[in-house]
Amino acid sequence: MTDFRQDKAIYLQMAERICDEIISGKYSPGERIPSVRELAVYLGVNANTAVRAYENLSAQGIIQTRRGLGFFVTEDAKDRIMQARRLRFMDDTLPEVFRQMQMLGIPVETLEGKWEEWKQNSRISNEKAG
Amino acid sequence: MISIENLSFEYGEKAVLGNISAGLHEGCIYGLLGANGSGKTTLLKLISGMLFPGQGRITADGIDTSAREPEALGKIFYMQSEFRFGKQSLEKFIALHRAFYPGFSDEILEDCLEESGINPKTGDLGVLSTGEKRKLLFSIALASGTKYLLMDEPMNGMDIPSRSLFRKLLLKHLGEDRTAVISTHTPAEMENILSDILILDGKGGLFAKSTEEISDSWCFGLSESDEGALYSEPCAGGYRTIKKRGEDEATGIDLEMLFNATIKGKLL
Repeated sequence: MTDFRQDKAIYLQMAERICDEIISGKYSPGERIPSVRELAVYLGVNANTAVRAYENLSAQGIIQTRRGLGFFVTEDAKDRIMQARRLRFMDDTLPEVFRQMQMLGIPVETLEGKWEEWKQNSRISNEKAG
Repeated sequence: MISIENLSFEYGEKAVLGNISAGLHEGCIYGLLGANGSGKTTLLKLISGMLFPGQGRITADGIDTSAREPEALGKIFYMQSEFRFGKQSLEKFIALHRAFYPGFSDEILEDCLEESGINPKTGDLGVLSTGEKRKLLFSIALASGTKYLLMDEPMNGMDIPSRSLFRKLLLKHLGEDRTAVISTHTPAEMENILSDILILDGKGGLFAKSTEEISDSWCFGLSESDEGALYSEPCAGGYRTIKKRGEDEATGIDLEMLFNATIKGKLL
């Protein structure tokens, strides 16, 4: 039924979705993104929720409105998204990883080996896929 | 705007609504929740002028709906949960409805019937299944062009694809200046399309908040303990909880939890 995760408000998930699409290159800097109504109908959500998602993205400087024309991706949207995500990784994801490491008694030195191993594996799977 | 002012209603000895007030605004989709017998249908009938308030009043754009003036009733479409179709053709049935609504849109009707897979040339409505009849009524409701759309459990008897079709057509054709009030016992399948939640608590009271207010006020989640929760229910993964929202990121709204907490008086 619910096409959204429960742990995050729908408008935040919609904003993330647009960010993903900007990162992946689906929307380029200066390009128009769907109208509030188009997006609401497409994702099956209330228009007010879509408005809130766009307000959130505007406040972060990722999109901007041009009166009567719609919403457009800003020139530095990609940088802003990456910057925000790096911050979130440092503030939220990493402390959670550290907490688990401490609880499970995993020394930080093991990470470096795992990191090299992971890079190796992802290179191999990329070559296979390519 | 529909304005419900200090409304009370009872069936003989049984008080159903006790002094409730709320405003229903343009462009909003209201989900109306309540236990069996809590007064959902009664409230919809009161709004549409089919029942008279005990005390208080309900106005649609300033006009008392219980006066049953065509000016007010022409703005309201009430889709009942129980209905019976006589032996008649679809064309005739639609002509009957079209006559009452000056803003009736054949274009919207055509789109809805086509998406619903209902043949507009159906000669006898008796051949339609319950779900198809409901889809037909829903199509007429959307096409009526009325400013206010009241629907009493519109998804009852609809199959799985029809339920998502219902959401899609509603969002597509409702428009920004119309208001919908939809009663349901299965809020989870409706939660994404709602802008506002109405809950009849079964004790005569009405909880009315926008989804924005709800996600600003409370966090819904799953946690290992129920410490600090305003309301919680045990589940396989620990506890489903409702907590007051502080600096945390806004979560999704678990309507079943919201409903249970409200009727138990935990969110007052």
